[in-house]
Amino acid sequence: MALGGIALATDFALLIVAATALSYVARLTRQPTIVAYVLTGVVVGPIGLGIVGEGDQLIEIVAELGLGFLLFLLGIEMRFEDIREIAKPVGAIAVGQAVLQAVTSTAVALVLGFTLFQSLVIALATTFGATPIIVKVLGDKDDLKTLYGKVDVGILIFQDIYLVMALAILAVGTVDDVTEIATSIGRVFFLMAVIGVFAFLASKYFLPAILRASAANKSTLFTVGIAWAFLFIFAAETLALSIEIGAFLAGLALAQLPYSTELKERMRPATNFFIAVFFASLALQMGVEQLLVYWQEAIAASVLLLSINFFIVFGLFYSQRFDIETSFLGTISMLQVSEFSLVLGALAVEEGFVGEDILGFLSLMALITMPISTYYVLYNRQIYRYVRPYLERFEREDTVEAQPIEYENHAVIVGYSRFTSELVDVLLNADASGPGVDDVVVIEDRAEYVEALSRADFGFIFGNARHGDIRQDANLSGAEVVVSVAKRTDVSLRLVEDAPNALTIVTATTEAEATRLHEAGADYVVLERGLVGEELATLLESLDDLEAFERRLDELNDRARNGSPRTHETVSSGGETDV
Amino acid sequence: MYEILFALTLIFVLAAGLLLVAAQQDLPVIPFYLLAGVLAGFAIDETQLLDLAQWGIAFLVFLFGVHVDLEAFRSTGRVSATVGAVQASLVGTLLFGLGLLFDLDVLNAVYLGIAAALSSSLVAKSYLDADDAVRPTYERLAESIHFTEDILGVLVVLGLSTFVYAQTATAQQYAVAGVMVALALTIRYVVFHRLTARLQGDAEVMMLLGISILIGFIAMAEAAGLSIVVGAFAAGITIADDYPHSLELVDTVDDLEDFFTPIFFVTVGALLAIPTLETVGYTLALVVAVLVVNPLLVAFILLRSGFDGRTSILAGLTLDQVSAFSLFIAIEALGAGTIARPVFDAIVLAAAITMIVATYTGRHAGSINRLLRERGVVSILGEPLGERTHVTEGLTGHVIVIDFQHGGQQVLEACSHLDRPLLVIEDNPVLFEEVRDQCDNYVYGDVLNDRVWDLAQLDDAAAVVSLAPEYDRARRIGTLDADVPRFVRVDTTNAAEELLELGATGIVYPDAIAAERVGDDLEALLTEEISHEEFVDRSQSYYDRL
Repeated sequence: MALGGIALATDFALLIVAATALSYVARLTRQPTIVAYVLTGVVVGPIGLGIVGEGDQLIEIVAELGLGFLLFLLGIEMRFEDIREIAKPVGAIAVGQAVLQAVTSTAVALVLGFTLFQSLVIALATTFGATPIIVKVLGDKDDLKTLYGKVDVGILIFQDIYLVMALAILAVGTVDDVTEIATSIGRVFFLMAVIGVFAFLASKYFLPAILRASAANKSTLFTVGIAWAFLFIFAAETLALSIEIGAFLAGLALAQLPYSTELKERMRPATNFFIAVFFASLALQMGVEQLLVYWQEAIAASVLLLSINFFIVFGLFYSQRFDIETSFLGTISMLQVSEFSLVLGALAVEEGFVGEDILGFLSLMALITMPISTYYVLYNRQIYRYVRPYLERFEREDTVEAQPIEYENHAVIVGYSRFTSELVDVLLNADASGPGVDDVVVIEDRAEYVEALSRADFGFIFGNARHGDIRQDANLSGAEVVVSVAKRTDVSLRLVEDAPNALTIVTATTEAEATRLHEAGADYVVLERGLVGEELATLLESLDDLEAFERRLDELNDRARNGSPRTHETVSSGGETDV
Repeated sequence: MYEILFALTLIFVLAAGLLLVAAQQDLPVIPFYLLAGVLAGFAIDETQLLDLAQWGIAFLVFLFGVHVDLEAFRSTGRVSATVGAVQASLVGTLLFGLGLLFDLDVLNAVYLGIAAALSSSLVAKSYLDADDAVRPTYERLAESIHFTEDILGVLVVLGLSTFVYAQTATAQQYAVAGVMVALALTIRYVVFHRLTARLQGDAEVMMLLGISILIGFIAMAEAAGLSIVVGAFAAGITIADDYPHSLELVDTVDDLEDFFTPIFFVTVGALLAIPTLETVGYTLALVVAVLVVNPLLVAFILLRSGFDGRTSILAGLTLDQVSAFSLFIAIEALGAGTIARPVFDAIVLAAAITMIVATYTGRHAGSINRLLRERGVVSILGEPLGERTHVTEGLTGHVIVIDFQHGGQQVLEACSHLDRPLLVIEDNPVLFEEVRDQCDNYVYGDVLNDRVWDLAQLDDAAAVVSLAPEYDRARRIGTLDADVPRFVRVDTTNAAEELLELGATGIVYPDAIAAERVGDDLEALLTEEISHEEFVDRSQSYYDRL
């Protein structure tokens, strides 16, 4: 040990560095990072170089936490109102897919020579679409807002529920007796219900006040969120439920509150870091024989399942009256083995349902299907153009229409202040003719404004605009007008860059910042120091003309004291000063 | 797994509960983490958390390194470096001597001395929150003194690991440290941007890249037998904190830090033993040194280097807390078994006490300053006044401007255009040079000092314009006893109302002024009175004229 008790664990460090290197390569080849993480374990573990072994305590803790946090985030993301409008067709597709795919997967696995039990686990594990691919690739393509993107994300949300159920069943552990299975499953669902009710009551009566109090300080909101997650994780562990279920319910309790996006974004780096360790640690306990024992089956199953599932999902989309293009794009995005397969596989191994070889089989399938699917998701429209002639004859009238996105023809205001509130008045009072806006959404992360802004007749998102999800929630890239008083110039720069077509008004505090923002494409840069100086200069010039001086003085003082004069008046009388 | 989970749950639940109290009272979080540790210490075995806790140190120092801004430091740097070094060595020596008197061995006396000498806010935090551009002189000054002391902290850790824990020759280790810094700078300026450019803003891989750089440098430090603090610092300066990395890399690492630092501080708290009489003695000595000696000493040095009384006292008052670096040093020493338990406990206790008191003194700095002035402390320490003042004979009908930097330029131009004399009151020696070049009349000093107004010939002035962002100074100007129009800058509606009632003539509320101007321009654009180009031109014209 180099110095006292302070030394970083070597295995853990090696794992992270290797994961970084591989994920860097993954990024260059546009592959999802999860493929890189799984490969990391293969490369540094016993299968490859053998420099990182099984049983490092820190790796185990972090991996376990990663899984917990991942489910916590899934819970937080479950905002039902996001998919309310398309919930019916999406639910039908999700349920249909789960049932039909389970049947075919079991059949395929049986045909390939797996035992019934193994086949059931494989079927359970291979039903999901891979969130990292769908959300990431579609996000990069800016397709999450399209109809097929929204449907896919909706299906993923339904699959989360299914995942939690599957986890609950696996958590029962191996039992022989049928009645014992029944009571165990009953017990698990009963406990889940108890925790769920507790979470629901908390989200109604306890959490809003706690989170509101903690939102005053950035560390507090985060710590309270983590503590909440740990409380549920620990409770689940104590009750011999899987900790993932506890974490998921903890997240669900937070999901419907206004602080959820900010909290989720704050927790994402830790989750990404920990979950990388989880996926990298999967192969650490595997020998080469366990990974490759079923390599032929893995290839065969990948090909078979991908083709059969295409027809299942496409059929389901089509039956829900989606048009051909949406059905096609939505379907091929969902065709791959998901990271959840590995999560379920790992848990099944842990509980003794199946051996490491099945986890090896699932890992191999993930490693085969994910990289390939990335490319067909990436080039989905090109592929569609190619197959369209064959599908066109199925086209029909009266298909599901794309729902309007929440904010459209709108202004995004980052930071609520005396200045921005007056601009909101101007924007909302303006005539519909010309480049005015229909809607305004304010992004603000100071707790003291939450109540007032929630009641306001324009949109409000609690959070910091530095997070991509917050900007996305506000549909920044589709905004007509963007006003930012963000104190950090880098945030304003990002806003300007993300909304190249919008009219952008940003504040700066120094001349250098102002120039930088202007060069980045900001239309109007407000330099308060300069405006103050000008105002004073004007005032001093009128010092000898007492009447003019006092008139302007009264105006200034009234504005300072009473807020925006535009609120209650019409546009014309508000703008009498110098336009 | 169960024990760890239990420990983490307890830590975060306790920390969350106490942080809610801290947030309500707007208090600093570290003392509450330590308190949570003390409580958790009864139920958990903290040694199993050391693995996770050290990541806390690593991230804290790493982020400190990331936020090091050498450019900004250069402007007030020379003064601050001297002040920080002089204060640290004087107080350090004092407590070192006291430690020897207490019959401590040399090394433990050194630990005591270090804990008293280094007083900074929690490293990275103060730099992070420093994005308010309109900041008074004392804050800038305090910030760069903190920075100096944090650098001293890194050097002390380096020194300790080379002299005290060294297994190999000292010179060799200094060489390794030097190579690491050189490597860090090379990566920063040559490799880093090429490496990140290809990631196209992928925050996930960026974060891993940051952590890997951290791990790499820590591994190097460990291989050379140096403290991980040295490695983490070198890793920090490897990362360029500029746009867009500040959003994609630095912010994500920052969020991670929020997970690990509570574990670190709570673990430190849990390591505390029940204080003995000896512990109490050391704690008392540290608290007195940090709370009383440090601020007065710093104020004295600043006054001697030409700052006014208020700036000196307020800057001194930001330095009355034990540094987080002292905690790192203490825990490293504890791990190495070279620190006496009472000394360790005293350092942690003193850190908790001083951090809480520092919040109080920070919040009431204005009244403490007034109190000290009334008691004559400022004049005992010696305040320079009148030395750097130039007022034209028979000056009358002039405009007095306070805090020239926040918009005074235009006032100056307007005055010269109108042939009206201008007088500037300034309290920042660095900016004062600039003021002296541009203006004929200037008074160096603090607006809370009545003498300053005599020198500025307030009674003969035509107007007083205060651009000072601080309320207590604005208030002083609003309540000046003279029949002269006074304009004061405020930042809230309430302050505007109060100051108008107190007798201010006019309110300069930048947000409201901007709202009027930009609102009008925007209205004109929306009603198509002006074109988009004209709109853009209007914006540009405002700051082009500067």
